Amino acid sequence: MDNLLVILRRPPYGVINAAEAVRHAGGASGSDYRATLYLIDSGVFTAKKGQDAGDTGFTGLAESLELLSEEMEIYAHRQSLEEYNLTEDDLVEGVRIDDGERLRQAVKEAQAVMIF
Amino acid sequence: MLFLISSAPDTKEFRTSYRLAMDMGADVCLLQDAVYASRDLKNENIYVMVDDMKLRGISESEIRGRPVDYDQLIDLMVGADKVIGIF
Amino acid sequence: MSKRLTLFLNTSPYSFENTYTAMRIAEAALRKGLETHLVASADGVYNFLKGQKGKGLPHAADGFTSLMEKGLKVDL
Repeated sequence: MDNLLVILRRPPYGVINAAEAVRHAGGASGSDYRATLYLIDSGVFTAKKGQDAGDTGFTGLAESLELLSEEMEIYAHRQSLEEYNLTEDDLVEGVRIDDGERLRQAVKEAQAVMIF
Repeated sequence: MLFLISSAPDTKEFRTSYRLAMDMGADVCLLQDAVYASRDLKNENIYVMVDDMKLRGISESEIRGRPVDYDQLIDLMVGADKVIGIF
Repeated sequence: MSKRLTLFLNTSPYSFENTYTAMRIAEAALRKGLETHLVASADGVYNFLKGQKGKGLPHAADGFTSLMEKGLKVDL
């Protein structure tokens, strides 16, 4: 099966990166790719609990991650979480924490890497 | 494996991707604002886009890496088992 | 089978240098006979708007039009 790695380095909403990363990873997964979404640097904020898009018109991205985690692997980089004082309890369900080993492995395994 | 990095040296994007490339023993080619890093990095094996150096007034004598043009970059990309980037 | 290169461009033409880098890489790849594709997404699609009048920066539409004449295949 084709294998896609999506790396997200930006927090959600302020710039389009997070929405694009989620859209592309979700699209790939829905098209029978094996997709992995990896959150690093301030991209880890995308998985933060309690996001309320309300009637803003934005899609709540943490909620999207929670849904997508049922069909793909989603990781948050441990050192990035620590840098922003986030712990596993701050994240939505389904997001796993990685200390860098899974990232190196995913870069090796992926046929394509998209960076947002 | 070849990493392409375009972010300025003082950014997280640069630091994270450069560290990952080094951890993985990958080759690196610096593009755009990342070419500024070639003035300080100790690594002599890094490729640096000469076109982007020229645009920024960086001469080949100022840098430690190996200057490459776009044709050479394509050769590096074709020769690599994988191209990761652009960060 | 000839090698295939796919570039992914998702930034607008005049706020970032990516348009220029993508054009230069595509140009060299086509010169070397690679099958060269470009996928534009998000603000990357603005590179292909008609009637761009910018000056002092590489002209996105003119540059990509000339590359498409040389064989660059573009999907938005």
